[in-house]
Amino acid sequence: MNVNEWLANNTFHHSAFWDIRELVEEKARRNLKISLCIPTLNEENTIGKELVVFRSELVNKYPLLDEIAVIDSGSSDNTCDVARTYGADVYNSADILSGEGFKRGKGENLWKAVYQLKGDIIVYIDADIKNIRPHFATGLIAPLIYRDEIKYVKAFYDRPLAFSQGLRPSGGGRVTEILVRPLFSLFFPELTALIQPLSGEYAVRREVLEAIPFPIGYGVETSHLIDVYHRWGLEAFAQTDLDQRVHRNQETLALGRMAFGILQTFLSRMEKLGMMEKLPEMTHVLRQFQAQEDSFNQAEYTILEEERPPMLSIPAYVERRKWLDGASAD
Amino acid sequence: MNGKIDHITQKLSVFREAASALKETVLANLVLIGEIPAPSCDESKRIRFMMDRFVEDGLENISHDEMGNGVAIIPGTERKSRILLVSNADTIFQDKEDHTVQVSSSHVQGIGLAENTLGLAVMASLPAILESLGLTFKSDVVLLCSVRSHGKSNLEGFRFFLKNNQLPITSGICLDGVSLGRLGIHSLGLLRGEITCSVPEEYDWTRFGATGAIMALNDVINKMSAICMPTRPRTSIMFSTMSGGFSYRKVPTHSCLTFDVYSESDRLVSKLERQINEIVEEVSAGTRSTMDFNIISRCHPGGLAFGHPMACCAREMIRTLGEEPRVLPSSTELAVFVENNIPAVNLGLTTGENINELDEKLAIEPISSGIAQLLGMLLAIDGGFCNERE
Repeated sequence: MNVNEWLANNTFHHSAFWDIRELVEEKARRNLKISLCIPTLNEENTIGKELVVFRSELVNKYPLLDEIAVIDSGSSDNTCDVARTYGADVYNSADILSGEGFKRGKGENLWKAVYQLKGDIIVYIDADIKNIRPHFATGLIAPLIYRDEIKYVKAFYDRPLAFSQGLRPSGGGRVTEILVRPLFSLFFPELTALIQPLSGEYAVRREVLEAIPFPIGYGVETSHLIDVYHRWGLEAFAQTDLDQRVHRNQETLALGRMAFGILQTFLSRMEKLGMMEKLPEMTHVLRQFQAQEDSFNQAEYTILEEERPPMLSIPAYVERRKWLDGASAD
Repeated sequence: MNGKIDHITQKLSVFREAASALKETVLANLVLIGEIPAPSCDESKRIRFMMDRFVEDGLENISHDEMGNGVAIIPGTERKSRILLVSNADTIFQDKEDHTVQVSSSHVQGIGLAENTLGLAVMASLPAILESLGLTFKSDVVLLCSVRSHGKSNLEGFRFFLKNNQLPITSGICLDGVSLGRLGIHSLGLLRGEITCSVPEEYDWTRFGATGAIMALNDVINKMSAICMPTRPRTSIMFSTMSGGFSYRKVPTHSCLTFDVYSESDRLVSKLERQINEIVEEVSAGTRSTMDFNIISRCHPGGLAFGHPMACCAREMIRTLGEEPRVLPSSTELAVFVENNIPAVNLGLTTGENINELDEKLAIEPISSGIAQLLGMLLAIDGGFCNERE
């Protein structure tokens, strides 16, 4: 499957899965259990709303989720109390697999969720989403329920509130566009098909989660993509457009820290895969995304970074330099 | 009457527990509806959401009328009468405001929740609550999400529905977000007015007393404030907004004042209307400005007597739930029920703070009592306990 075929077949809009009743029936037919994991650290302002919406819509009204768990890294605010009030199973990350120790970071919580939660599918959703809707979960879970070959479904967000017509940017974040997409273009060109590789929301089959390592910090999403791609190929991925995601914006300095963490993870993955010793042939094609109405297209830009030698290696310059030196001596 | 509704009041604690058990359903509806902006005349997305909910719940006759009101019916077992449950869908806030709703353990915070997203959320949750209790009614319960309620729209949507609806309505309940214990059984006489003032661009500013459009309206306010109001029947003028002017060093050539006149006496409202007209003419002549007095809305006082069985039942429900009923006049949808001679009450659903402000907050726990009170009233009306004695 080439990138364009993959984009056509494995890129969805959440509205394709509007019929939650049918989704629940299919889940039952396939005898699947689904867990929702929300990793938290001081999220008292948004966690209550997320739980209320998911419990009401996807547990009580339509029994799609079998379990909702909050895995907390030691919040000092009321995150855990609010989560308990609205019926979540609340775990302190440090208490899970305590024999393995505790490391502070989102990846730690995601990793421990694999041990703690019971689902055949785990859907991870960040706790800081201000405009949470049920489709944040259904849009990610549905491709896994309907298509056996899909193992890892990534969210992307698009559709700016105001965009009159024509081409628009794909909505990737700054770190995606400045760091991750150029790196993928150079070393893993097929992974550039993922419109927002760093999005924090994804649904994954247990068989995948239990077989891959989890960086603890900023690199967890990047490393997942490389590891799953390396082992199962691009066909294992799907991505779903969840429309708008309203959340806190990070400051540039914070993005710098994030980029640094991702770069470390990326280079360590290249080392593990033996790519450092034998770097692949350098490509000059940067793959970016542009969207028009409902379709997303990869745009390829050839960026040839040619260079000139030091001026001292140019005979004409050496001659001129002599003349310049003579002129200054006079 | 008390003896007759004992079997209903005894169930209120069970109703409250059932509503509490479905707390997430009500709160999820509150979040999902509250985050859809719905300024007056632009409520279609909220109405669409409500209609989708009604479809999911398998209600009947789900439709919207030409005005945009959304309606559905919870079918009764006998269908001989119809109880209309109404909640307005619009809010006083524009799209550009942040409509994010926050949920804590004890409160929910967001704009427009009290007026009147909570009413809609309870309506959207009602089928699930009735199902959990196995509760049915003999009468049809008609759910109406009315549009164009606020400001100059002035209950236009609800008026349109009652005028054009083909199903005769036998009684009504208006749902208000706040406040629990507050009971509306009658509406006040209301005159909602607007006075505009314009002075020509070529105004003679050298003339004695020339001041511009704002000062002219200020003269009107001073004279309206000086009108003697009787202690009884209770009557008052409430100035709502005043606008005008451009900037420093620019003489204001246009201004506008909006206000409400409330009174228990229709005769007094009419008298005040005449007096305001005279004031406007007098100030207009004195300042040589052009003034217009427009009546945006006029409601006549009326409603249930304090001893009407429906009013007694409502007080009994509220008291049984541990609240002291506060009977206060209402100027919302209840006024339209009154105009149409339909017996109705206005119920508050919870308590709140900073109502109609950007940091409005509603208490979560009392909502279950608010819902229990509603269920009790539906049963009482359905059982004929609210009918006037022959």
